[in-house]
Amino acid sequence: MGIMRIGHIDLNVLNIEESRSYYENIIGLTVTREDEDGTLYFKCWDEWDKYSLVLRPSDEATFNRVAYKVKDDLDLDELKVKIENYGIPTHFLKAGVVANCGRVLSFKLPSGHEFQLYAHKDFIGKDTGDTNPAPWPFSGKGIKAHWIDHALLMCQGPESVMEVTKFFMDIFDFTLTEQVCVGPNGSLQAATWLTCSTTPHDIAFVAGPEVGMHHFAFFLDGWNDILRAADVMGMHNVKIDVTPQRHGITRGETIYFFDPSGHRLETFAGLGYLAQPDMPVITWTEDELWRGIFYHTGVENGAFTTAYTLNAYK
Amino acid sequence: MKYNILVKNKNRNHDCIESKNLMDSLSTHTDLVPRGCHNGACGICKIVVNSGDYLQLKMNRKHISEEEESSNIVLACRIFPKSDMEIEFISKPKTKHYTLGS
Repeated sequence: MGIMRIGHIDLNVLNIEESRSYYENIIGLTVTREDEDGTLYFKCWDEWDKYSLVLRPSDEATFNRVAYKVKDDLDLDELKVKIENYGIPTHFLKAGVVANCGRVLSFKLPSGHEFQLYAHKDFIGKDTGDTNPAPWPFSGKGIKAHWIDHALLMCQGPESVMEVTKFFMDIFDFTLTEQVCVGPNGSLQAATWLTCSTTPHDIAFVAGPEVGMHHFAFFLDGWNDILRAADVMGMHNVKIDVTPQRHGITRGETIYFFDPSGHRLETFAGLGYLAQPDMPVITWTEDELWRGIFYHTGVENGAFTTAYTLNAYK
Repeated sequence: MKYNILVKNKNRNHDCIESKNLMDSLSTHTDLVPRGCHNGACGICKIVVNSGDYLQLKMNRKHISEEEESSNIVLACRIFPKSDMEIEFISKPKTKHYTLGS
């Protein structure tokens, strides 16, 4: 079946202790592993694998890589052949090289992002357990984010967005759910949203000046949780980029905000809609682009295109 | 403690408190500073400090080299005023790549 979902995001941060406090107390994650070099691994309460976020102490605030989880180990062999036939070199990292993971297939996306696939990660379980579980953990902190839902990666120009979109559809069997089309007769995809599950997007790509990560998102149940999350951010002077709002694209209920190193995060709530492989692709035109991104105002009201995390590797 | 900060490229000055980074203080005024992440990653608030003293947090080396840092080129979001200051924003070179919404 191939890729199931996002597995983990790996970022560099400027002050690891500040980041630890932020992600534990405000976002509500748990540190599940610490390395001697200071690297921290975090897990959300509703996730069951060992970690979904890796933060490395650094002189940079940059994006290292993103990893997605496949269903079976044999999927990795099949995907290796497909990726290499496409013309992209790959290599396997032995089990344990990536913390608590089995063998990992590593390569660069056509957009220049480092990308990894794995089938096994050590199991911890949800904070609420799997027998007669409570609907949420009573002792959780802050926003109590459920899980990391998706990532939006920035690509250099629409050509790069189009190439990596086609790659995800052809090689990974992702479904294109939404697109922003610009240029003559809307012939260029300047942004795309793709799914491998039933949510409106598991990954998205946007055209910008440099390769990087626009944001990654934490899932929340619904609008009331978004309001409460924004309250928690206000209490802690978290820099909010865009206050609670609806996305036209994906229909998500959202807040954009920044972590202590300036990485943009999102709290994404609601189902959006049921994404299926035969759902018609939704297109947003250049003139209604901002209605698609921020549905209420219809204008850019943050730092959507100016501020984002750059790739750590050229 | 408050200090007077002159943003030279806008020829406007405002009081900023020493407990807030310059971006958090200056962004409360309309059309004075570029929109950014206020914590280091995006690099949009790169400035040269022409005069004045400040405390600073660690700079993001992706945007500020050691040489720049020692020439008072810093990110406004990572410094806190310790005296009146004159600063000037350094804009990023124009990109040849189409940017969504630009």
